[in-house]
Amino acid sequence: MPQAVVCVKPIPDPKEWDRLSLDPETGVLKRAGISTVINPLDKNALEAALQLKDRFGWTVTVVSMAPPDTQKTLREALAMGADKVLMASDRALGGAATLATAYTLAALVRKAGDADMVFCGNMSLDGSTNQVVPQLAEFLGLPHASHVVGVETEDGSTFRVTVDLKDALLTLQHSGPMVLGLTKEANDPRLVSVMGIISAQSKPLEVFSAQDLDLDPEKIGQKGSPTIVSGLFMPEIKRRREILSGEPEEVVDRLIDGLREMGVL
Amino acid sequence: MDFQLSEQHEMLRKAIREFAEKEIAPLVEKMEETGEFPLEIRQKMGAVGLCGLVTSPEYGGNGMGFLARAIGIEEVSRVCAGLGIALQVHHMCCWPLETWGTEEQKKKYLPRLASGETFGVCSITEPSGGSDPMGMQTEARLEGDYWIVNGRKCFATNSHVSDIMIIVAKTGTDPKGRPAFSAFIVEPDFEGFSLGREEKKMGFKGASSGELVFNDCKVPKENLLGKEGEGLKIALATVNRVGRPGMASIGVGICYASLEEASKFAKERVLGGKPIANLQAIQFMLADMFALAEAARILNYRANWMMDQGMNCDTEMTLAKYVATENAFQCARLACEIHGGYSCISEYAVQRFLRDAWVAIPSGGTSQIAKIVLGRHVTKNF
Ligand SMILES: Cc1cc2nc3c(=O)[nH]c(=O)nc-3n(C[C@H](O)[C@H](O)[C@H](O)COP(=O)(O)OP(=O)(O)OC[C@H]3O[C@@H](n4cnc5c(N)ncnc54)[C@H](O)[C@@H]3O)c2cc1C
Repeated sequence: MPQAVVCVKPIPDPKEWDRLSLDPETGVLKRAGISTVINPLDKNALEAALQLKDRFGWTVTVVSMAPPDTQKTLREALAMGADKVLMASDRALGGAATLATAYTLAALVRKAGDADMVFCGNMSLDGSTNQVVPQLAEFLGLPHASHVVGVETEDGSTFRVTVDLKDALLTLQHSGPMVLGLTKEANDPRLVSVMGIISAQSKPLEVFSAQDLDLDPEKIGQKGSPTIVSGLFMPEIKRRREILSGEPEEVVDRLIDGLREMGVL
Repeated sequence: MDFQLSEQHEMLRKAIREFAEKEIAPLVEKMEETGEFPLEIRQKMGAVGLCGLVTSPEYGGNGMGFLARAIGIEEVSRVCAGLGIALQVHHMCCWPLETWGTEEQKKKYLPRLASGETFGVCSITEPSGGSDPMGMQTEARLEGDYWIVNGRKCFATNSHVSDIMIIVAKTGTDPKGRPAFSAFIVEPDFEGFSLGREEKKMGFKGASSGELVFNDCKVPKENLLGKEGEGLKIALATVNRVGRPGMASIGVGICYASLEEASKFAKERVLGGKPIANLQAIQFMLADMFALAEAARILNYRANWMMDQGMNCDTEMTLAKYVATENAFQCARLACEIHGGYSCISEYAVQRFLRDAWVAIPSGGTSQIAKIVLGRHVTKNF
């Protein structure tokens, strides 16, 4: 059976973000007491894979690098319909920036066996870098597409992938494995059902250490991360108010000039 | 003692909350305005697994059980108590069918109920008084291959949206000369059956509640549920073990919905330059609501957990129903007080919670009847 591998990241529930805070000393996110959910775009990735399972009988394997206490969240992916979860969980993986994350995920994808397609969320809502998809593709030696708004296939082997280029849509036709970064426009992820929850309990969820995956200690966690958070600040939003008066035509001209000067237009 | 919900139950709450917010919330306004039941929701509730919670997998359900059911109904009712009662009475049709039904009856009816193809009815109450089931007037007599039923049922939840109904009728007298009752499975196209009027209610709008009319209605012999004479036992067990915890779960859902709306409003409403949430008078109301909600939930989970363990829990079910529906009304009332004049405006959900909570109190047995049961328990055991 062909296999779809889906990268899934547990993140703090966006509904509870007003309760999140940053430790001003260390710059670390204080997330105690905040519940964890599947990164919303990863559900779009999972949905795309599950459609291949429903239509063509593909196997769907979820991979994730996450702390052990997020197993519960990853089981939700099983409840949605995925067949198994391979999880990398190790203190040595902590503090990973995107490069180290992509390196680790690539090892998990290889562990999953032959991937006929790799689906990811285009970005994680808590990190928002957009970097993992292309980096993962490079590590795996596969082509990739980010900002994917549509994945279509008639036969399960040739895919038409539609990419949002901001000003235009690009449709690619492709056969063979690829890494795709899906956006929320790509599909409408299914809801978890009670039957799914019950069957999830007997599906495999395997946890691997860095050693199990033969990872190079220099390339993982904080050590393997060339980017560091050097400082954090809250952007200050300043409002400026100016009341224009005069004849309407003249006021409109001045308004447009003013907006041009500020670079808004 | 372990108060931790299992991972499965937690996942269920999350899943049903997501379902309710996505699929049910958009229906509420129209249900309130028209009083019409949104038929298309039945199959969606079936697909997500809500309809089959107390039905075994061999009959198309998932059998996750009563604690799961309590959580499911609570989450549905947090968004729409009208669909909460539709679902809870639906289970009042599934459970006795599986408990007393013959293999043929179970195979014929349960898969259709578990999938949400139709919603079930369980109708006992008659105009002669819901609190006094012995006063039931509807009668059935056996003639050849058919039971001939005559009479009228009222307050039947799902009446106008159902193809499978359980009803109870008088079928003679027992050896001691007291009326004896039997339960039957009725389909709406049986000869002599018709629907009476559909009630316009102050709450649970959009849930169908109406009359079932039997005019020499021909019910095939094989549609007797359980043995002849077991009708009252089946009815009371179903009301006790399914109906009461179902109503309790609706009460808990209304409690938390009220709490959430009240807290949100109190934090947003600014008076004298500060949110009213800062006022101790408001905090006291929120604290009371929290206490009412948590107490209702814990009693309800305990009763349903006992049911899942196969323990005798009739008293606990009655206690949970009494406390949860009364607390729901208190919570909704406090939420309305916190909203001030806005509680009277239909855009604010709290007025709906108050109406729904009021209707939840007599449904499944009045508080007085619950207190009679509890009072007897006290004098017997303490
Ligand atoms: C929205 C809704 C849905 C319902 N759904 C269903 C359903 O699906 N199936 C079904 O069979 N029924 C259903 N019912 C009916 C419900 O079970 C009855 O309304 C309830 O049992 C009360 O019966 P009653 O309305 O006839 O009131 P009555 O029995 O006439 O009671 C009137 C008053 O007398 C009090 N009272 C009665 N007897 C005593 C006593 N011995 N001691 C002290 N006080 C007493 C009651 O507490 C109440 O205050 C539903 C009701 C509602 C409102």
